[in-house]
Formats: sequence, C-alpha cells, structure tokens
Amino acid sequence: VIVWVARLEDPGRWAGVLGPDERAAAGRFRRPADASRYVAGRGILRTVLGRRLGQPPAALRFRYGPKEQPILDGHRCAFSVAHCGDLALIAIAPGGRVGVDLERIRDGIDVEAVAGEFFPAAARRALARVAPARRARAFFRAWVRHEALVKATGRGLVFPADARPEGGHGLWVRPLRLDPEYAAAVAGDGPRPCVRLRRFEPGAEAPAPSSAWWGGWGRSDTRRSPP
Amino acid sequence: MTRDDVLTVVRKHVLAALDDLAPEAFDPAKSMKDLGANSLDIVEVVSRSMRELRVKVPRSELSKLSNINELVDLLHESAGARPVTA
Repeated sequence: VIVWVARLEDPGRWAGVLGPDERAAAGRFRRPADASRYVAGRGILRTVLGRRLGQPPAALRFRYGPKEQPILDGHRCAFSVAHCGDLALIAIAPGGRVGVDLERIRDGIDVEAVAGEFFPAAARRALARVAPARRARAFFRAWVRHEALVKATGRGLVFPADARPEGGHGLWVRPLRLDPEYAAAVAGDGPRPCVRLRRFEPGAEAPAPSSAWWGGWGRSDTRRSPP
Repeated sequence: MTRDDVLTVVRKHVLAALDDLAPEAFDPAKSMKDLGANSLDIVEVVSRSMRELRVKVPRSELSKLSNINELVDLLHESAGARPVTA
C-alpha cells in the first residue's frame, strides 16, 4: 500500500480535471474553503491514480458505492482518501481493500460520549485503561484506526451498524507517523502489510491554474450565500 | 418537546463542531458533510445531541440519514417514544 501525503491547496490548478459530478459536488459545500479542499483533493486523487494507471487524470471515470465512496471504473486498483484541514492522505493498493483516516489531535472533544456511542466494546475498554492526561491522544489514534477499518470494509463511512473488534474482517490496520499534531492510520487486507508513505508533488500533468470554471464557481457560491 | 426544540439542540452542536460555519449558513436540508463536517464532527454532533436530549438512536438508523432534517426527525421521534420519568 502506498500512502500519498498531499496539501490541499491551489484548487484552480485542479479544477480542469474534474468530472461534471465532482463539480456539482463542489458546488454543494456551504463554505468556500471546503469546496476548495474538495476540488484539490479530487484533482490530486485523479493525478495519483492517473500516474499509476498511465492515463490522463481527466480520463478516469468514477462510480459510487452505496455509501457514496468513489470506485474506479474498469480497474482493480483500490484506494481510499482522508483529509483534515488542508492535509490529505490517499492510500492506493493494487487490489483488495484499503482504508485510510486522518485527524488533527485537539482538545475539547467529548471523548467519553463519542467512544461510548460509536466505538466497539474492545476499543472502549482499551481507552478506559489509558491515563486521563493521555486519553485524548489515545482517543484520536483509536478513532483513526476504527475509521480506517470501517472504510476498508466499505460498510459505511460513519456509522458501522455491526462494527466488529479490530482485527475482524481479515484486515490489518497500522498507524501512520506523520506529525505529532495528527493521528493517522491505514487498513487493508493481505497477509503482510507493507506501507510506504510518499509526499505528493504536482507534476506537468496538472493543468495551469486560473481555470475559467473555477472562477465561475466562486461567483456561484457567493450568489447562493445568504445576505 | 417539539421538533423545533430538537432542531435548536442539533443546530447548536453543529455550529459548535464547525466553528467557522456562519450561523446563517446552517441549513438543515443539507447533509453535515455538505456543511463541511467530517466523520468525527458528525458523530460528535450526534453524541452530544443524544446526550442533551437524553435519547438513544440505534446506529443502524443513523446510517440511513442523508441530511440534518432527517436526524432531527429521528431524534424527535425517539424523544417522543421515551417513557416520561419524574
């Protein structure tokens, strides 16, 4: 599994490679910053997949699973995307299943409420054994492991109805060491997890910035915002 | 408890989770993802709302929701079904 680390910046660079459905999805965000990150994320995803498959980013076609997860039409390649703020992770596997998740570690989250409602029993018990001073960090690490597994199973992005203890589903999960401010994990299947982190750098295949479409989106969003 | 009471609680927790979302941009016809929430934001909003409203909703029901109005309806129905306690 290769995990690309990317900054979600310069959306105008990527707008030209998106499909009509992705442009429509970008238009649904209420905050311009979210739309910008979505556009950059999709552009970078298309670029990474296009490099791997030897195709132009704009030529790739996605269809969507029952939980709206994108699936690449006509290829066995598995992928998963996570972003937090302007940092994104894209995990790609040659086949099988893969899931990745990323969160910035922060104070103020209601650890007991969220874990009590949404963690599998084993993860709840493990978290309860952690000293209170370290519990928030442990929570985020457990959360990203859980989310990476849930994404890899394809059962749902938020609320797994029958979340099993970690290690179920025949999947492995590994933490990713990026930055002390972030928790990240990747999950997949196969007998021997082999995970490589790579920093994404845009190349010549990315169109030049300042596409007309991107400018048009900005005006459209302004028009939709309440006065 | 009226539906508007439930909506007020959910709105408060959405705005708390998405602290750079302008209050007038809150639109219950949208999904939380469309408002910029990630998975953890969403479970935090749901957890805090359930705790404040003192209701429990099965995860299998939550997974069917597609926008904030549907969450409000589900929480409102659950609150109405809750036995009244002294």
